[in-house]
Amino acid sequence: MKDFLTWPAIFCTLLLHLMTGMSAYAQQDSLLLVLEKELQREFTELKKAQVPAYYIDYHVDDIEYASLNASFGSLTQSAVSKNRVLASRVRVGDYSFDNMHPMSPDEGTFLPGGGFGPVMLPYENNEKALQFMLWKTTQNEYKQAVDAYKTIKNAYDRRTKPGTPINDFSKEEPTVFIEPKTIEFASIFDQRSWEEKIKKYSYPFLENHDLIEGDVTLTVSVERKYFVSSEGTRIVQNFTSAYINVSASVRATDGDIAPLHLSYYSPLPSGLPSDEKIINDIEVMVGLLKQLKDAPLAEPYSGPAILYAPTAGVFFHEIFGHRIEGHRLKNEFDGQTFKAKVGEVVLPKTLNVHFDPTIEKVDGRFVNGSYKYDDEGISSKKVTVVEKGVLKTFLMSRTPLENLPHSNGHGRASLGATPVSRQSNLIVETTKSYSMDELRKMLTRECKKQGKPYGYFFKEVVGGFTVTDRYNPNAFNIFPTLVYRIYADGRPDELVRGVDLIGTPLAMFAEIQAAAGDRDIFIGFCGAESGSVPVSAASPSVFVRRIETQKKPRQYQETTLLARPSSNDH
Amino acid sequence: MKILNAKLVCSLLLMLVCSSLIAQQDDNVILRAMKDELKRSMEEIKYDNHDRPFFISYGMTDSKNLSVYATLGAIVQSNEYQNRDKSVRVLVGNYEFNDESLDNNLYSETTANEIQLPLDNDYFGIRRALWTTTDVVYKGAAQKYKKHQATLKEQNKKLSDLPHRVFAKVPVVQSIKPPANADVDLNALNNYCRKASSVFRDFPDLESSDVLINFSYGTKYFVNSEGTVVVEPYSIGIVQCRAQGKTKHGEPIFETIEYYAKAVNEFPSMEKLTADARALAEKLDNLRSATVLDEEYSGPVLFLGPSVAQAFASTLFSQRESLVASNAILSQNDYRPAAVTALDARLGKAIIDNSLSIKASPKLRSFKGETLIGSYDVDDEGVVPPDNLVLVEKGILKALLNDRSLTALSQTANGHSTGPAVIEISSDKTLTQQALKDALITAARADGQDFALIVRTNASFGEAMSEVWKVNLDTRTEEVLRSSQVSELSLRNLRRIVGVGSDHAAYTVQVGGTLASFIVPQGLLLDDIEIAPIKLPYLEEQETYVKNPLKN
Repeated sequence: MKDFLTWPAIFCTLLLHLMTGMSAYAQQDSLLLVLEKELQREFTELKKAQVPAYYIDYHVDDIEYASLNASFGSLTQSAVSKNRVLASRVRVGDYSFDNMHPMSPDEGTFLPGGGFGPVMLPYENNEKALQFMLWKTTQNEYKQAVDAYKTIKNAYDRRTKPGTPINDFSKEEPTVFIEPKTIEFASIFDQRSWEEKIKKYSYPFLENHDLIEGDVTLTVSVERKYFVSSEGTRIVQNFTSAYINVSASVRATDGDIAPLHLSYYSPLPSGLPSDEKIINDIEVMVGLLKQLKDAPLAEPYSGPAILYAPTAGVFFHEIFGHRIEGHRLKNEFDGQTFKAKVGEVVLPKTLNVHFDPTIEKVDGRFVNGSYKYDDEGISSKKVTVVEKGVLKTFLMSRTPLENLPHSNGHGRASLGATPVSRQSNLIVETTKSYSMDELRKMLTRECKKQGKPYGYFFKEVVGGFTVTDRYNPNAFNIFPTLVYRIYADGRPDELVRGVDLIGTPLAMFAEIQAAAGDRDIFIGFCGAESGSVPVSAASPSVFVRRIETQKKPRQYQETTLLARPSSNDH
Repeated sequence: MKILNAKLVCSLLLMLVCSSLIAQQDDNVILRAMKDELKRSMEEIKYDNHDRPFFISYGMTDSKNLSVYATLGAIVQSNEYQNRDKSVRVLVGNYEFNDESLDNNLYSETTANEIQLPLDNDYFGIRRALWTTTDVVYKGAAQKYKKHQATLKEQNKKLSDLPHRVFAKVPVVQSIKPPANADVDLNALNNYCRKASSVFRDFPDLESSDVLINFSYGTKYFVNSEGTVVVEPYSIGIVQCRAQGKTKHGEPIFETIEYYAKAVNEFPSMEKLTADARALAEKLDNLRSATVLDEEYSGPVLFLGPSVAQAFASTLFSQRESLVASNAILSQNDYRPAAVTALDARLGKAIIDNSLSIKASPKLRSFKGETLIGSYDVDDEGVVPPDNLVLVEKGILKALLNDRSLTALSQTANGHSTGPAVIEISSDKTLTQQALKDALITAARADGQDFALIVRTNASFGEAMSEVWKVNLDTRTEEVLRSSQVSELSLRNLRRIVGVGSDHAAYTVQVGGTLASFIVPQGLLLDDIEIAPIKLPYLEEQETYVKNPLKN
């Protein structure tokens, strides 16, 4: 059971979390057979119960993963593990009204939700052991579903009914898609050679004695996701991922800590950039950290700014993307910013916004918000949510909205959580692009107009969060790491520290003035009520007439009394 | 190795050298890195306007860990990983008065500067990890010492007039042992867990069941600025069989059996483990229909088997009263009443029945062929404990176990920073098992009871339930009770014992987060013990709509 009020903020961060012949093949996949058999057995009985179940699903993630960390040239973590996790949903009642029906605020904070959460299954295909765990989980979920249904039905019967009833669960055509297992973890990941690689990547941090953090993390996973439902859907999909995250921090002259981050993503470790590229990027990062050491701390500011492409991607993800996630618009706790705005202009008319989980690459780079079927077994689709600035639709899971009775393949969840509508690969396009030089000129002109000596250039960002409920200010906060002042009088750009980008969404949309012809991608993980899911955001750089900044929380670190032991040890 | 009696605290530097191993020392990258960084810190570290450290110690545990978890004959998790932990202690001031003297908070906050220990033998990586921690611990210690100096000055008192903590001087120890040859096969552990857990498939009414193994082995390193160097192999493992069931009304019942070992081949044989797992399941099955106590019982109780060790552990090493000397001082910053009743004031006085004697034998390796899990040669502060230390003699408190932090004049450092280690309990009031039961019945009758109680296991609630049996005073027959709990015991309960068993056995018990071995009589008859029924909240069992697949 989940209480949405316990989720005051939707948080998106770059930090990686991993926990961070079809029919012929199905015969070979004994886990699938056990899932199908037990589901059938359970559904046959539970649909005859006094409060009948009308829908049951099993979602099993079978995952093998590695997590390695190196710090200043030394290996500090190296572990390989495997898990198999089950989540089951049992729905009682019917499609129009069931145990997941949203409660209204005057009925308290109780909200029905997924039952007992994730259950660890044996990773060995021992039929009896698996079947027992499935049975036990289904019984628990069913009992909880019945309990929730009775509570909700009683509350609903007392309540004034809304005008047009909307189904609680969409009716969808069943799908069968069974992907053969093609990749073994051991065939794509050589633990020893990657230990040496990440050690090598973190060596350059030893060159700068002011650095207090110099970490390189590698996470690799090979996952097989099973989904079976009582409606007849059977999906088995393969997922692989390899992420490298680089985190380094410098102790600035005043003792404050300034961090920078780099990240790389590829579906397979072999697709990650070359050693030369990564080491070169890290050396550039070390150079920037050196500059950050002496960079001045910025004061709160309001005025023009350019959001460089990856920052603009996070900006759109936070201020726009979370507000077009369909299930929120059915929730009376939510601010529902765009609920009544379909067909209206919500962004500049030069902008189009899509979410496309069907693509693997954007501009030749792998993106991580891709999948063939979502976590409710629905085929993924490209969804154009904004066309020429006009809001067209929402991202939909199987929670229908008025006039949107079906999912568009965006029901997503992390291991074991209940899926809700979530973002995938966000792509922002402009029909009228400018060069970066032109954006700079627009910025300096606007500075002069507003009487500001400088505007801001937000180059790199680590993540951000936004609040969408109606009990808190609907604000967003983006965490830039590399920020420059662009002076109106033509002085060279100045690197500054300690800036967070803040604002409220509707005010911000009106301030977007122009977009560049460039495009870059932010790869990260988005955390919300259905857990942490991989997402990307591709956007051109944008010029914004007015943004607001606030000071970052300060972290004071005294200088060390002795020098770091031997800097030339490698 | 023969070492000194640590009660003789003096300036004698006793060098315990395994000469054949000293040559290996320079080849040991870990040890070299620890010693070099310690030397550099002692010689060079200096915080402006603060005193320099007079003592630094580094500890490091290099471990390989294996864990397996199986249910109903299938592996759920099976992991093998390496881990390295460090501990850094920096003292500023002097042995009599230092940064730890006037405060109960002895830990430093970690900072963003922290660097983890490398997993490989990376000389500079190890030094960097020690360097960052030394820096933060020293700064905290130096500031605290300055504050303590100011406190002393403000109060215009002599140090001896304030409750304070002294850092004991102890002999220097050099003990370097070769690494343990404990190559553990994860697949063998998988097979062991898989097979043992499959026993529970014959018991479909269990709500859940599993078998877990955790085995950790490696080497512990310790160096300090006084010259002590200790390299000690270690290994410890546990096998747990856990099962949970329900009565027909839905009341939960659960049970755990545990086996500790220092080597994998000391774990129970597959035959024994499967037999014990089966017995565990059958026990839960029987408990489903067992009777419960109607009301709280207060009267004579006979503890048998492992419950005797549990009873002694909970009375002699409780949070409130303990044979481990209290490390807390009365602090001006802490207005809460002291949670610990220091036994120091009762040295030389009777604290328990005059038939009982207790001694610590930390170096005792085995008892009746059973490995003693708690034993060690050198404690975590690099102090060698005496072979035997009498704690209680015929009921009179003679000594307390101590680390190097002394909070009373009567205390001496005796090599027990790691915990109680091995505790031997003896009595001259022994009876046979038969005589103990007779005495129980007699005492219960004299007390006006309708029945008597025997406790066979006294578990901490949450993981398992105490095994309590009801004895018919006329027929002497015994009947197991469900869901009973022995009320908290204290030293007071040992003031008068009716009798103890004549045979002794060794058991492993958790004491304050560490494992200790207790060699105890096989029976202990106490009067005035309270045992109450446990009232667990539960829902009446709802209908099961789909048949349990294990019953197909």
